[in-house]
Amino acid sequence: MKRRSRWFPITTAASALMLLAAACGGGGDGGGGGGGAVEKIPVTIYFQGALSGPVNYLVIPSFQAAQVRFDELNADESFPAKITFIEGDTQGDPANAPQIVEQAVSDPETVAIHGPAFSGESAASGDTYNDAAIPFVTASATATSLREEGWDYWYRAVGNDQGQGALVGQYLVDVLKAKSVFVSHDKSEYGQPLAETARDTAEEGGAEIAGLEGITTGEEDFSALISAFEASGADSFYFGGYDADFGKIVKQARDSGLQIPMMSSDGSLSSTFIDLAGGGADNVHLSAPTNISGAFIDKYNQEVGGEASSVPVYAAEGYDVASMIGEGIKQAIEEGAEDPESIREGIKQYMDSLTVDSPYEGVAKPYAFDENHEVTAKNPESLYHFYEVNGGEVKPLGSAPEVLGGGG
Amino acid sequence: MDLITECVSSVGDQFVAQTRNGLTLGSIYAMIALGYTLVYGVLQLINFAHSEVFMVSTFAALYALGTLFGVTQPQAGLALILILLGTLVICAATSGGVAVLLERLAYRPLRRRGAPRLSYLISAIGASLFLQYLFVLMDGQHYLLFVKLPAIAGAAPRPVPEVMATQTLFTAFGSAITNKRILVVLVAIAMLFILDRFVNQTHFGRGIRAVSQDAEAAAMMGVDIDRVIVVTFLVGGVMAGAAGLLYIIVLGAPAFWFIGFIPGIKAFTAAVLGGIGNIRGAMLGGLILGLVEAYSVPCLGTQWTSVTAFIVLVVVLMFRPTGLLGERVSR
Repeated sequence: MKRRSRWFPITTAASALMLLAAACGGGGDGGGGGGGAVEKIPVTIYFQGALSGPVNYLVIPSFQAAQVRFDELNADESFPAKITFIEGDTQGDPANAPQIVEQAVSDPETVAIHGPAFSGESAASGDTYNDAAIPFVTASATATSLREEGWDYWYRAVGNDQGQGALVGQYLVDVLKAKSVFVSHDKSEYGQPLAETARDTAEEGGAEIAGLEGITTGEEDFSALISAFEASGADSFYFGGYDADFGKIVKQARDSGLQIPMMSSDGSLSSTFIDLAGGGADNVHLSAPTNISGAFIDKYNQEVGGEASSVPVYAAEGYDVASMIGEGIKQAIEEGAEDPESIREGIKQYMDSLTVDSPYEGVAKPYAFDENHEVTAKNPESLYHFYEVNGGEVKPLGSAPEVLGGGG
Repeated sequence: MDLITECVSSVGDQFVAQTRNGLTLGSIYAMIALGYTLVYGVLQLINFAHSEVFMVSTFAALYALGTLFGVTQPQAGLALILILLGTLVICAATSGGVAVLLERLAYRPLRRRGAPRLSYLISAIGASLFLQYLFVLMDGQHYLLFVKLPAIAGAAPRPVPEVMATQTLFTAFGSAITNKRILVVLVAIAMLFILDRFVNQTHFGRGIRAVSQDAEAAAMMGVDIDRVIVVTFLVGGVMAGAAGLLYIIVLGAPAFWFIGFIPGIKAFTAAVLGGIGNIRGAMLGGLILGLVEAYSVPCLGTQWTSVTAFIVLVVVLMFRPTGLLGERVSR
């Protein structure tokens, strides 16, 4: 009820203003100066993702960057809305999603969701958001299967696992010159399809597949896997899964004297991986649909200060998602929307209006969405980046077209 | 047929390496399994919080190596031996202390009131969850009744500084045998030997055996049951503490709130396999379980290790329902 009482006077005021503007007609607009002192319409945006819990470091950079962007918009006098950004902490667990979703959907001022951050919670939340006609834009959920859901209000601002897996295969063959690859995964919805796509592409590229093994996640002793891998004589190793497992595998493989190149993807692109693998992290290669270098990261470090992550995965994408939602709100309100329902529709229309030829120019990349609401680009490979660990630090190698080049 | 030949040849290729892996892990399982078996012997209680007694040891090692001894790079010679011994004492004391506290707070009040067996089980699971999430919340940002918890743990795994550099001592049939693996097996054998002597030849050991055979008769003969139970928990905790340190050294494992879960379940399985309540059974069960898991890899792949281990457990229990060596502490 509290929200309602705060809401009504402002809508009334806003409608009154609109009427006034309409009454003034063409004559009044001339000296308006871009509408300097617009009455800001209050809107709420929820962030859904793991803000606490064991994997929160994969999500926090994106949240921090979004917060930076919304603070900027709120400080901008010409921006016609006052954004309240609410933390919906699921700890990354789909089981915790329903209560966050319920809170967001029942909040009358909600206009958009920044998230859900992971694929599992996206699958558990999407139907409700879609039925409530609230746009939900993820900056980090990469499971390919999400696009099959057919949600009208869902958008994905990063490349999916299928595209990534194919490029991993190419990288193994073309850059690492792998003749024989041992592929492993953590049996998760994220890791297994990624590893299988990588295997298929590497095989097509002419590499022999020395083994495909699923591991038990959370295990500490990977000696058995490493012995199997040693016996297979493979010259490179790929793991589809998360940093906690990959860090231990790399460390134990290096301890048994294996100096071959090892590779994984965005789930292992984190400071936790570097900490766990220790000195063994060198000669580890990573692919990811996020760009953790570039001009935006300087700004991120400056704005976030001491809380900044040393491996800011999805920070630039989190900032861009916030910008696009902000742009959608702005256009909707400029076109006359004043209640949350029409602002939601306005955000959706804005997202749908982005095409490869007229994308939103974000700090990470240009954004346009295809018919499945997946981010797309003139060259879809440019959505992915490669990294190499050197001297205990993650060094960016560039985007996929730059790294794989014409030879790819 | 091709499959079988391939399987046999890959077992041959990996035999030495997997024996090595199995013995290392099996020794650690055996040390943890003792805690389950000893407590079961005197209380007929499965102490499900024992995996957290093990987990606490990883944080004790992090404190000892990282803060107390300030280890930043691998040590050698006398310094290494002293630091290892010091850390071992701290880990064993911390885990032993936690085990004794558990007995005091989670089990003794129930025992005093003659609670049914199910209550012990619930208390054990509750204590286990309590300890896990206490460590998650000890990240320096959470409060317990207005007291800020220290920043010693947290949700993410915390790497423990490497105190001992990995060196390959010799190569057996193409498999590197490292100093760390030798250390684990030697320490495990020493600890198991000392424990066996302790139970079979000391005054306290006699008390433990007496209580596990017949608690009432032992009490009438003047055995202080409470003291025997405390000593039992302490000894089990010390073994788990030592196992935690070895786990960190050989695998480079981090200090982590959930680290006890898998070794805990496996060690419990090992204890049942060998005959729960039977000390030598727990040692044997640990080694067998470690080896079975390792040998299943060449043929079936790593995803089947746990399945194989539990199939072996079921088959053994079908033919020997009380485990390989039977369900008794004495002998």
